[in-house]
Amino acid sequence: MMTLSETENAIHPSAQALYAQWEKLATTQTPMGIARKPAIHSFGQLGIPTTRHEDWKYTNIAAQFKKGLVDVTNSASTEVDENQINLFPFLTANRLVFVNGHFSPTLSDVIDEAEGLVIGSLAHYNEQGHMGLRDNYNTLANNSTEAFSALNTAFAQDGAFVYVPAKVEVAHPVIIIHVTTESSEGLINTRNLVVTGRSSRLDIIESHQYIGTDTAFGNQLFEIFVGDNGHVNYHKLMTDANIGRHVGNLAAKQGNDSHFNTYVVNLSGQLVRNFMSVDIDGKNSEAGFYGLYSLDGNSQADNHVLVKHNEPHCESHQLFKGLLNDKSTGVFNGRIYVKEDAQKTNAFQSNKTILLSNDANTYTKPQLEIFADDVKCSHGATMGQIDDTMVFYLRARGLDEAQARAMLNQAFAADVIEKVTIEPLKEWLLNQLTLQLTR
Amino acid sequence: MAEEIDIIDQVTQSDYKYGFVTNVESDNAKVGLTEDTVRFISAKKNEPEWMLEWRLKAYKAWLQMEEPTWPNVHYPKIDYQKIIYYAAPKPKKVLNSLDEVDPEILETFKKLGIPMEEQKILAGVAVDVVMDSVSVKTTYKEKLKELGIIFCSMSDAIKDYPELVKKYMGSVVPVRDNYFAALNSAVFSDGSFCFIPKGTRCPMELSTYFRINEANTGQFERTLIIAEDNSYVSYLEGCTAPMRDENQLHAAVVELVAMDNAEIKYSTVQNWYPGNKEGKGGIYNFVTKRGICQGINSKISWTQVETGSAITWKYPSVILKGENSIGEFYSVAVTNNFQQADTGTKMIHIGKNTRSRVVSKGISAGKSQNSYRGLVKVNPNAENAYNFSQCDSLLIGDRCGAHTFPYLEVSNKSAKVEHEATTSKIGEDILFYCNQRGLSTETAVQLIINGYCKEVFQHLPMEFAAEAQKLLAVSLEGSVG
Repeated sequence: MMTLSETENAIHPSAQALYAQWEKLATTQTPMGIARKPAIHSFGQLGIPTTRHEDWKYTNIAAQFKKGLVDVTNSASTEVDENQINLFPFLTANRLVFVNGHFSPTLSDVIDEAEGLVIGSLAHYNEQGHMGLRDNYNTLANNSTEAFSALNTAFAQDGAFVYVPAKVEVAHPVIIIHVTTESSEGLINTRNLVVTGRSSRLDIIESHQYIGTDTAFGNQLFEIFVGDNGHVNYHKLMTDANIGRHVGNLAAKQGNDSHFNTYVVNLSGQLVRNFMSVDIDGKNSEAGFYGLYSLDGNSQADNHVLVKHNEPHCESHQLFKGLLNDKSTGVFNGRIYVKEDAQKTNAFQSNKTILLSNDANTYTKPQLEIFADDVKCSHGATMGQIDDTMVFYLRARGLDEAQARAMLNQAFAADVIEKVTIEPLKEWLLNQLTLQLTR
Repeated sequence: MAEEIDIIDQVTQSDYKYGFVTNVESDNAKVGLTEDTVRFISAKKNEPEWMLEWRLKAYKAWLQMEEPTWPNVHYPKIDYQKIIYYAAPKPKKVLNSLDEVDPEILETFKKLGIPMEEQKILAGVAVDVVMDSVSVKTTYKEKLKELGIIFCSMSDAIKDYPELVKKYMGSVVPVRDNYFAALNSAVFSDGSFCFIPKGTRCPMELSTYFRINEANTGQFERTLIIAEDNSYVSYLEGCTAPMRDENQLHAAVVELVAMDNAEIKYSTVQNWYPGNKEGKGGIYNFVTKRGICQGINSKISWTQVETGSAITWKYPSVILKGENSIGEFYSVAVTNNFQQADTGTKMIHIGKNTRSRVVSKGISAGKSQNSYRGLVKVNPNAENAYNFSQCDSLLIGDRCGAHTFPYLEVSNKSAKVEHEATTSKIGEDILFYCNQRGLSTETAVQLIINGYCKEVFQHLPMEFAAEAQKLLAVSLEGSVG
């Protein structure tokens, strides 16, 4: 039995239980297997962050684990009622479905084919020793600083693996659907890896759906490599009414002349935390982060963005908007980091929040860390409410107050959704937003 | 471009102009900090029992606290047992006129370009001179006394107005507020005390010059300003310090209390020794400044020009408790060579219809790091609170850094909070435009920097505005002035 050092044990008492669980996992000599051991040690040292941790100041994640910390990825059921899942029938797309962190071949459907193109299960290609997976798996994850990344690397069983060879443009989006049905309070770890080659193109849509449960705790890690001159759009959707608890880490890396856009839409969630970081490691590249969190009830959404400009002549944009009703809480922490000599960097960030209730809270931390001088960087943040004169204008034209406010809120939030480039998806999201604002 | 590089070289190489040591014999405490040190300081100052108890309470709190590590500054660990916590010039007999002040001290002020004689005659500024912790000379005290204004050193206030000190000291910055505030509370040597009674408008700018003098002595000033109902006061604080190789610690506490309809305007020009071009030496400036708008319609305004110190850690804050109260913060922070600054403000909105405005201008040059860190917090009951913050950073040279860490926390839906920040260098197109119209690059840079800081300078009292521009010119010598 592996034992913990005293310091490791002191940091998180339930780490010991996790070790015992972890020991039962087979650690094979595959990329996933090899990564597990350093990761569990790293987690032992980090422990679950408390609110004293600067990045977790406004999200008391430790309170979620009062009853202990167990991984249930292995034991969770892989069965689900197909009719309850939203399979995005309005989109012609490649579809990968995962139930409680395990691949479901029957629900999945891959339509695009090209030489070397892989759209499938991470576990499967891990066993096969796929070169793209072997070379890239776990190279972007921040296991030494992010406790949940380390936890994921130690326990994850499966997730999506997409490999796009050079010069391949994937015609249809890849939809990754993560379904959670687990009714215990344990952790479901899922792991995704996307590697795109030079001059390739890929759209990813990721949907999280909780069916018949809101107790499970999803812990996801997503690694994305964008090759030189590549275009990748990544959408993360949490639109259902009963999204449970979720921590998602996204680590991306861009090559020269590449484009990478992230769209995050949170329309609910007991507690949703997204940490998105991108290393712009190539010249003349562009990165965009667009997020909307429209929340009600006791929901909490915590979006962290870190854009690292490591090379000159790059540009990044961040736009995050929040609509907070009832007792919901919105957190936004955007960081622009410009490395020494990353000259001619243009980086912009904007966060706008409307509070619809006095019980709602918003916490914003837009940060700039600039170590190069020839740059244009800015951020703006506003918090306020819909202007009464605008409501009056609409009421003068025959709308009642509720209608007028709904229309203005919708317009405020739609700004972000309008950035989505897949037309049918944009339409669907706008509808979901209307439903959410009127429910 | 070549000319621009010249300017950067000059900026990076200009020396500290105010480095000199005054030879005044001092009566020091033993090196290190123990309960005995606290008792020594208190005894030395003939303080009453309650003050000693207060200090000991702070000392005990300090022992349990940890030095903060969250600021974006890096420095070797301070050995608090290697600092002399009390240094006072040898006690002299009570002075009746300026002639009786130690000529060397007068000489120091001449070197600073702030001749006291002149001030006494011309400026109409009452100067409570603090030379290494003890008040040496207070002018205009009599005149102020007629109006009922109390302006004296903290030690005198403890003796003469114990009730006021007891009531307000530690009411804005509690003993346990933070590590450095606790340290200050335990060992503070002296400072200024100012009380403006009801309905009084202080007819002159009150000002104090702080100097750090004795080698290896920490300077622990404590300032308390109370403005009663319907009163107004403008307070000026300016600092320069002699050149030293060892780092010196400065941990001051400033507390402001504004009652109904009162207004306090607090201006600072800070030019402690920043260390030499290699980043050796320099002052560690860890200051806790906080004001409370206690009454309705009250106003507190902080204006600061920070050009000195090796390390600056300072967040002048306003607690907006009274209804309709206003908090303001205007700051220019310049860092050069290896200086590091982590400064900003906190605006805490508690009362209804409270408003705050933050304008922060950072300039980094050489290999310095300049951070803005600010908090705007709107409590659930602060209906119609409004905040506007603007934080701009200007970079001169490609080896310096400018960082912005604002925190915005809003829990009331009627609040309006606006924050914007930009970081850039002086655009080549702007310089080109000026060159084209016959201005040399140097004049152009001067013009642009002056324009950049104007919004802050215009909030300084006249006398200070001139000094501030002078300081900016010295700090960025070559590019301005």
